[in-house]
Amino acid sequence: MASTDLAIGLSGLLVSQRALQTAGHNITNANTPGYSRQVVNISASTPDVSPYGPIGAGVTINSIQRIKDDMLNSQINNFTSMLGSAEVQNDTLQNLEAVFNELSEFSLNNMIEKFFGSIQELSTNPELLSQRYQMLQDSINMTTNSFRTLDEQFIKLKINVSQMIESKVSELNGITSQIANLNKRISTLEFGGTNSNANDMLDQRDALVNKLSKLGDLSVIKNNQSSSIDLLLGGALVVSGGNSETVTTSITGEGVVEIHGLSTANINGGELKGLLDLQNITLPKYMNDLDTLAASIIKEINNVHSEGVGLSGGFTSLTSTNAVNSATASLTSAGLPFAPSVNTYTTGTVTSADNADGTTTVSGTGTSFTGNVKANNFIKLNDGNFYKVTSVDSDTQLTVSGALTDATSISTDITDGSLYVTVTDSSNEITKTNISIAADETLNTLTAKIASIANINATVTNGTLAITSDSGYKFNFAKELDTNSGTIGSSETTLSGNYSGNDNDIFTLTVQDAGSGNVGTGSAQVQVTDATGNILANLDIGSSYTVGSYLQIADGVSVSFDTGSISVGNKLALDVVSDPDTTNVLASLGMNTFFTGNDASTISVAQYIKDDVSRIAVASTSSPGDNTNALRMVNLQNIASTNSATFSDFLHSTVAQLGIETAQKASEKESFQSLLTNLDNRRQEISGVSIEEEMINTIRFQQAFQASARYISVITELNNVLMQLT
Amino acid sequence: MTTRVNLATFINTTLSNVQQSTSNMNKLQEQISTGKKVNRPSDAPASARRILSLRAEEMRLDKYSANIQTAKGSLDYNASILQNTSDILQRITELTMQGVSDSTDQSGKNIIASEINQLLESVIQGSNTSRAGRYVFAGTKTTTVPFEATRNPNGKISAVTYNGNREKIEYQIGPNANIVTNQTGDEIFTDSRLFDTIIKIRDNLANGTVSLARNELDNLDNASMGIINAVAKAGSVSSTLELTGNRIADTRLSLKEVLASTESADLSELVMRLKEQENIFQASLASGSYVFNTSILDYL
Repeated sequence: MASTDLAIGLSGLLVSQRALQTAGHNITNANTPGYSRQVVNISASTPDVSPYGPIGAGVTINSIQRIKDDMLNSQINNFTSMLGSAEVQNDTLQNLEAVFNELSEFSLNNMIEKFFGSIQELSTNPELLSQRYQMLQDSINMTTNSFRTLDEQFIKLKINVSQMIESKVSELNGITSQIANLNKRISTLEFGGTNSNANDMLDQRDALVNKLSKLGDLSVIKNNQSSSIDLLLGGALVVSGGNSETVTTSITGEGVVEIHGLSTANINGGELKGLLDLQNITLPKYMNDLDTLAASIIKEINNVHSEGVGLSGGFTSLTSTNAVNSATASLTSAGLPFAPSVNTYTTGTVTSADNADGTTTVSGTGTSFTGNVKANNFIKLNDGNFYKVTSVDSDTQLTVSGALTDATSISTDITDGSLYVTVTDSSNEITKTNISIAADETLNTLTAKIASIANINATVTNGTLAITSDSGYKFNFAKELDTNSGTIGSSETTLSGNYSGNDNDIFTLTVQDAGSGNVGTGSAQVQVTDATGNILANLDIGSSYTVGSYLQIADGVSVSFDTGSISVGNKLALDVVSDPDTTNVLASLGMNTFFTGNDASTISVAQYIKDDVSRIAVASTSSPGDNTNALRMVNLQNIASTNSATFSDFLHSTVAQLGIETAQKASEKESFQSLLTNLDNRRQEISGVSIEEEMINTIRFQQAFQASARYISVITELNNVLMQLT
Repeated sequence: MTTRVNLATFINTTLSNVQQSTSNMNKLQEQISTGKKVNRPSDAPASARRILSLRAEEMRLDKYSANIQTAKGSLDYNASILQNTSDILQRITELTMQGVSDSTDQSGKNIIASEINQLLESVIQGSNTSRAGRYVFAGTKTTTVPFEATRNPNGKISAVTYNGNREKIEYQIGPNANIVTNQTGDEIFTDSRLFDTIIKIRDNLANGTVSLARNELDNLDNASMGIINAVAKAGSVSSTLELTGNRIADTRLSLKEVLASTESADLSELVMRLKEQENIFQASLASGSYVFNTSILDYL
C-alpha cells in the first residue's frame, strides 16, 4: 500500500512541477514572435484493479500542447502574401510619382508648354537671335532635363526593382533551407510518439512559413506521417520534406531579372509577385508611355521643321542624320527610326458609292477626314479596303479612285505621296519640282529623283542622303509659293500670300476672254480651277484692272498680271502646297529636323541647331519676318497625334492613371494591414500568452505542489505509526 | 464566452491606431504647409488631371495675351505713324491748293514746291519706319528698307520703288485663331501711287504746269483716303484685340479661381481636422499607457 500511496503523491508533485515549468516557459516567451502558448494536458492515471473496482493511481501528463488555430494561421499567411504584393507596388509607385513630380513647377507638363510657348514667342520675333536662343534653351530643358532625366530615373527605379527581386529570391532560398532543416529535426523528434510534440520548433516553422508567405503565395502540404511539411510556390515544390530547392535568377540583356526553378506566372501574391509585376508590366507601361510621347513630339515637330527654313532661307548643302541600313531596301523597312507614313484611317464607319466617272464617293459617320487625310494618300478605311484619295470633300466625305481590296502590299508601303523641292537662284527665282514618292521607294531611287532636278546634286554616302546645290543656288522643302510664277500669254504673273488649303493642289489659270489681246483691255478674263476642275475664281483683268495689282484666287493666294498679250485658251498651272512632304520622308531620313532620336532616352536637339540657332525653321520663305512655319509647329499642340490625344492630354491621362494606380495600391495596402492587425489580434486571443493567466496558473500549481508534498508527509507519518506498532 | 485579451493585443491595437493617427496628421500637416490639397496625383487623380490641364491652359493663355500685347503694340505704333503721314498729306493738299491758285506767282510756286519736296522726304521717312529693328511696312522682309528713293542729279527724289513684299505677318491669339498684325507698304503707299502723285505735284508746280498739278489733286485725295483707311483698319483690329485680350484676361481669372478651388487647401478646415486628429492621438496614447501599466503583478 505504502509505495502506491507515495507514488500518487509523487505523480502530483511531478505534474505540478511540469505545469509550473510550462507556465514559466510561457511567461518568458510572452514576447517571442510566432510563439504559441503551451498547456499541459493532464488526466488521472490508469487506475489499479482491486476487488472493489478500479482504484485511483494519481495523475499523469498526456501531452504538452501548443494552442493554435491552423485555419487562422493560413488566413494570416494569405493576407500576408497580399499585403506583401500591395506594399512593394505601392512603395515603387510612390517613387514613380515622385519621379514624375508632375504637380511641381519643373514638371514635364510645364516643360512641354514652355517649349511650345517659346515657339509662340519666336513667332512674334522671328528675326531676334536672342529669342532663338531662348527657344533652344527651352527645347533643351524639355529634352535633356525632362524627358531624358525622367527616363534615367525610370531606369534607376527598374534596376532597383530588379535588385530587390534578386535579394528577395536569396531571402526565399534562406528561408526554405531553414524550413527543410526544421522538417528534419521535427520528424526525428516526433517520430513514433504521439505525446512528443516539438512545440517550439513547430512555432519556429510556422513563423518561417509566415515570413515566406510575405514573399509569395504558398501552398502548404502537411505530411502526417513524418510531421514535415511540403511547400509549393509558383507550381514548384520549394520544400519537400528535408530538402529545399534552390531558386536561381539571371539577368537578360534588357536588365530584366528572370527567376528559374519555379513558374513566375503561377505566383499570385507576395512581394515577388508585386516586384515581378512592377518589373514586367507597370514600369514598362509607363516607360512606354513616356517613349510614345517623346516619339510623337519628335516626329510631329520634325515633320513640320523639315518643311521650313531658317534665316538663311535655304540650304546649299544638307545631309540626313538617320542612316538607312540598305540603300536598295524600301524606306519603310530600311531601319529608319520613323518609317515614312502609311496612312491608315479607321475612325468611324464608312459606306462607299460608285460614281459614273470611275471614282467612288466614301461617306462616313463619326469620321474627321479634314486634316487627317490628304489627296493622293492611300488610306485604309474601316471597311478593310485601301483607297487612293482623289479629294477630301468634307469631314465626312471623300472621293477616291476605286476600291482596292487586294492591298496587302500597300499596307506595308509608303503612301504614294509627293515631295516638293524648291530651288532658288541668286535673283530669288523659284523653281518648284514635285517628286512623286513611290510605294517601294528606296534611298537610291529617291536620291536619283532628287539628283535629276536642275542645279542640285544628291548622293548616298554610308546610308545617308547628301544634297548640295550648284553655286549661286539654294534649295529647301518649304511650302512657299513660287512668287515669280511664270507667264500666261506674254504676261508675267506674280503670286502672293500663304496657301491655307488642306491639300496640295494645282491652280490652273485659263484665259477665257482676251479683251483686245492684252491684259487690262476690254472684258479680258482669266478663270482659275483647282486640280479636280472646280472653278475657284473668275478674275477680271479687263479695262478696269490696274495692271500689277493683286487679285484674290482662293485659300489666301493672290495673283497679279503684268502687261502682255494674251489669247483665249492660254494656260498657266501653279503648284500650291500645304504639305510639301506628304510621306514625311524628310523627317524619317532626318533632313533638316529639329530633334534627333526616337524615344525618351534619345530625344535631343539636333547638333546643327545647337551650333547655329538661325537654322531653327521658323519661316517658309527666305523673308526674315516670316513666321508661318513656327505657327504650324505651334498648332501641333492642338492636334490629336499621340494615340488619338494631344501631347498634353496624353501626358495628363498617363499621370492620372499613375495616380489612380498608386492610390489603389495604397488603399489595398491599408486595408490588408488593418485586416492583418485584426487577424493577428484573433491569433493573440487564441495563442498569445496572457501574463495574468500564467500567474494564476502558477499560483494554482504552486498550491497543488504544496498539497502533494503535504500528502506525502502524511503518508510518511502513517508509515511511521505502522512501524512503531511492530 | 469571454475573449482572451492579453497585452500583445492591446499593444497591437494601440500601435496601429496611433500609426493611423500620425499618418493622418502627417497628411493634414503636408496639406497645411504646402497650402495644397493635391500634392501628388494619387491624392486625387481626377483633380490632378484637371490641375495639369488648367495649368497648361493658363500657360497658353499667357502666351496668347502676350501675343495680343505685342500685336496691339505694333498695330498702334503703325497707326500713329500713318496718322502722322496723313497729317503731312493734309498739309501737302493745302499747299497744292495754294500752289495751283492763280494768286500765287511762280516764285511762290517754287517755294511751295520745295516745301512739298521736304514733306515728301518726311512721308518716305515715315514709310521706312522701323520698330525694334524691324521695318514695319516691309511685309515679311522686315530687315529690308522697304522704300528706296531714286534721286536726280540735284538730289531730288524722282521715283520710289518698293523692296518689301506683300506678305502678312500673323500671330496666334487663340487655338487655331490667327490675326494679321501688319499692313504692307505697297498696299498702303504704292497701290495708291502716293509717291508718284506727290512727285508729279512738286514737279508740275516747279515747272508752272498748274493744270497738270491740279489734275493730281484727286489722286492725292485718294491716297489720303487710303492712308486714313489704313489707320482706321489698324485701329479696328487693335480694338478687336483689346476685346479679345480682355476676354482672355477674364478667362484667365476664372481659370485661376477654378485652379485655386481644385488645388488649394481650405486652411481653417484642415486646422480643425488636425486638432481633431491630435486629440485622438493623445487620447489613445493616454489610455494606452494606463492599460499597459495595469498588471496582476501589482496585486501579488
